[in-house]
This record gives sequence, C-alpha cells and structure tokens, in this order.
Amino acid sequence: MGSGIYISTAGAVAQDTALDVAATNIANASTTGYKAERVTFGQALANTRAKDSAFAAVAAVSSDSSAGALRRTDNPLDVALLGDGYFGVNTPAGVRYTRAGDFRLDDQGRLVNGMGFVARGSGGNEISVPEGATTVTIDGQGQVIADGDEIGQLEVVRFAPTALRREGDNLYSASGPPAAPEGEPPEIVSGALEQSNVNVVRGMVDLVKVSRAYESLMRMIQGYRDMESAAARGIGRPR
Amino acid sequence: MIRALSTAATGMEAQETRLDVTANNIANASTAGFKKSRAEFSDLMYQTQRAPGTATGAGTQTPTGLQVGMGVRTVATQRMHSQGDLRQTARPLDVAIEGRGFFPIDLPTGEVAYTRDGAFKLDSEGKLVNSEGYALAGDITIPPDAQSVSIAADGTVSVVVPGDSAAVEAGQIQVANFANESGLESTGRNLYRETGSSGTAVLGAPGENGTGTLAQGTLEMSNVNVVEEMIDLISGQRAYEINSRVIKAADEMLGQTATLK
Repeated sequence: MGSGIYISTAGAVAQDTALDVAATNIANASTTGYKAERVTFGQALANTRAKDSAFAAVAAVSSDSSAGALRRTDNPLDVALLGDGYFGVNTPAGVRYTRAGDFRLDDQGRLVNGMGFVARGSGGNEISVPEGATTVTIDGQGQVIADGDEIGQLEVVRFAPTALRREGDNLYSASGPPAAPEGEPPEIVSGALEQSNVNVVRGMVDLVKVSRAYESLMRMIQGYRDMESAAARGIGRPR
Repeated sequence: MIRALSTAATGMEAQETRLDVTANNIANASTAGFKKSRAEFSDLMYQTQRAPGTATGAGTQTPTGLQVGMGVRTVATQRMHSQGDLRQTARPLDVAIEGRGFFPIDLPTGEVAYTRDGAFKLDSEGKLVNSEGYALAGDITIPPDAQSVSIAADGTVSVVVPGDSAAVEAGQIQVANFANESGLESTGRNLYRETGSSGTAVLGAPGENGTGTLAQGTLEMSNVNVVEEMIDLISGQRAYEINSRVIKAADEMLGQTATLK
C-alpha cells in the first residue's frame, strides 16, 4: 500500500502537464502556423523494488507536424508552405525558423515577418524592396518580385523534427544545420496563410480525458487515505 | 493547473481581440472604400523542462524534449487591401479606383491623407471635397455654372459650361500608390496616413505606376465578406468558449486537490 499513494500522485502530476499542453493548444487555435503539441506518457522507475508498480510521467511533448488548413487572404505578401519546410528569419538572438508566412515591409523597405524580424533570402541576405517600387509579390517558388524584377528568393529549409525547439513568437530554433535538400522544394502558395493545426474537437476531448483521469487519481489518493485512517483506527482495537 | 489557468486566459483575450476586429469589419460592411482587418496571433514563450537531445543515460538521448507553452498573444492587426465590390451609383462625382491606388486628400493641418472612398462633393467654392469636407489634392474646381462633369479613366476632369459646346478641362485627379499598402496607418473617417512601413506615396495619373484607372458614377464598397466574417465570429466565439472550459477544468481539478482529506 505504501507506494500506491505516490503512484497516484505521480499520475496526477503528469496529468497536470497534460492539462497545460491542452490549454496551450486551445489558446493557439487561431495562431498562424502553430503546430499542436502532443503529450507522450511513459513509465518512470519501472524496474525498481516493486515489480508490479510503475510510476507514470510525461516522457515527451512532441509537435504534431501535420499541415494546417490554408486560408486565403489575398494579401500578396502572405505566403504558406505546402509540405515540409520552414522560412528563415534573422532575430537579435540568431537565425530562427517559422511556418508563419505573414510577411510585410518595414520602414526600410525590407521584407519582415509579422513580428518584425527580417526574412532571410538565399544565403541569409535580407530582401530589400527598391525605393519607389509600386507592386511587390511573392511567387510559387518563393521569389520576391518588385515591379516585374526578381529582388530575392525566400530561404526555405527543412529539419528533422527533433532538431527544432519552440521559442514562442511562432519561431523555432534549430540545434544543428538544416537537412540537405531532398526532392522537390515545398511549393509556396501566395495570398494565403497556414492556420493553426489545432483541432478544437480533439482539444476538448483531451481536456475531458485529462480532467477525468485527474479526478480518478484524486479518488485513488482519497481511497488510500481512507484505508490508512481505517487501519489506524481499526487495527488493534479490542472487540 | 495554475499555468493552464493563465494560458487559457491568454487564449480568451486573443479571441476577444479577434471578435473586436470582426465586429469592426461587420459594422463597416457598408462603408464605402473600407478595407477589412484581421488579427494576427503568435504563441508565447515555452517553459523547457527537458531540452530535446538531453542524455538519458546508457548512451541514449531524448528524441523530443518536454516544452510546455504559456499561451498566445495578439501581435498585430493587419488590413487587407483587396478590391471591394464596385457599385453603380450614376452620381457624376462618385469615383472608384479599379485596381491599386488611393485618392490623396489635403487635411486642414497641411498633411496629406489617403482614401479609397471616392464619394466626392463640391464645397461652396466649387472645389472637389470628400464627405468630411477635406479637399481632394490638386485643387480641382468645378465652375458654378457647369452643366455636366465628366471624369475620364485617366483622371481628367472636364466640364461643359453654357455657351461653349466643347468640354473644358478642369484638372486631373491623381492617385497615390504605395509599395506596402498594409503598412498604412488608419486614422478613421476612411482615411489612411503614410508611415515608414508603407513606403512613400508615388503620385501619378490613374493607370500609371501600377495603379488602377478611375470609374465615374461608381463607388467602391467595403471588401468585407459578411459570410466570412460570420464564420470568423462563430469560430472565435467557440474558441473563446473552449478556452473558458479549460479554466473550468483546471478549477475543478484544483478543487479536487484542495478537498483531499
């Protein structure tokens, strides 16, 4: 009986993290380019003293890399990636990667993303629109065109999913260089944005699951407590 | 749980902003020259409990890390400058731009503002003004005895006065183009102001510099698509509701913990 209450507590702590993850997903149901997080539970301390007891813990939180729905915006500088890949941006903290293609121009005519970070062109160069240009568009290969002339090429890179770490602001940082380009580069759709791939129905189901699991674990803890107090009161009492 | 509470609160705040933006779009569904906006969001920072690639012992590494997010925030509202529907009004001083470009308007402060709303009127001096009474740049004056006014696709304004069979040119309407229309600052009253992000205004005759041509007797309506806005309204409302359920779930879980005896 001794370890049962701790097994239940470990389960409740794991469910707590699962709730935080479900909350983050639901909060980001409208975030451009957001990828849902998935919790994986695992056994911790499985082979310790008691063979029949295993503590649950959150083993990993991974990204669901499935594509989000595309939404037409008809804004010529909004682009979405069809397929695997990331846009590069230069931030004060270094190069970061994003799926959100909500580009625009800053006050120096540079192509920047929604957060104001400068978009990386090929080779990491910034893409500047010449003074007085009147139409700027991005085509299906990621070429930025001002008044009919190509002025740059958006950098699109691929990574193994495990090489990326979430940074917030729709950005990821990479632990190594991008993977070598394989096959066709992802197609770019201009005038559209990739929406969050959070499925709110799934979010609701996760929420129900977590709260019910937590409730059961609390009952377990309560059950152990009741057994302990019954033992303390009952055992050894003269009949 | 406390983290989930604040995460869900950021989600509700974001959906509230989205609803505000949608409400403004719907309210302006019939405003001439109005351009719809959209709210843009980004995820907040993450708490890294275990970084990906951490050694787990026995020479293995965790393939995925353990990062828990903290919610969402609104980063921007962006205006979408797609063409609105054109409505025939047959009023000679209603002018629409078919394509890119803005009418420059001289503000009383001496600044120049820009608008897509081409419902022009005449003031007491016969000058072309917008609905607020601010003059269209270029000081185009229509003589008081003019019998008809015609505005050509290239912006040339000509009038027919009594005693003269030929039309007389009264001026030319110019339009301004910007490299980045979305960078314009909205100041209300259908007016926009140039900013560093929009680039400088390039003035020219309609049809030049990639601008559209003018259509007389036509007004550009708002580009708000009411069906789209309704869908946004519904999905925003539902997302708000689900975020509030997260708060309820977290609260119940906290309650269960607190009542353990």
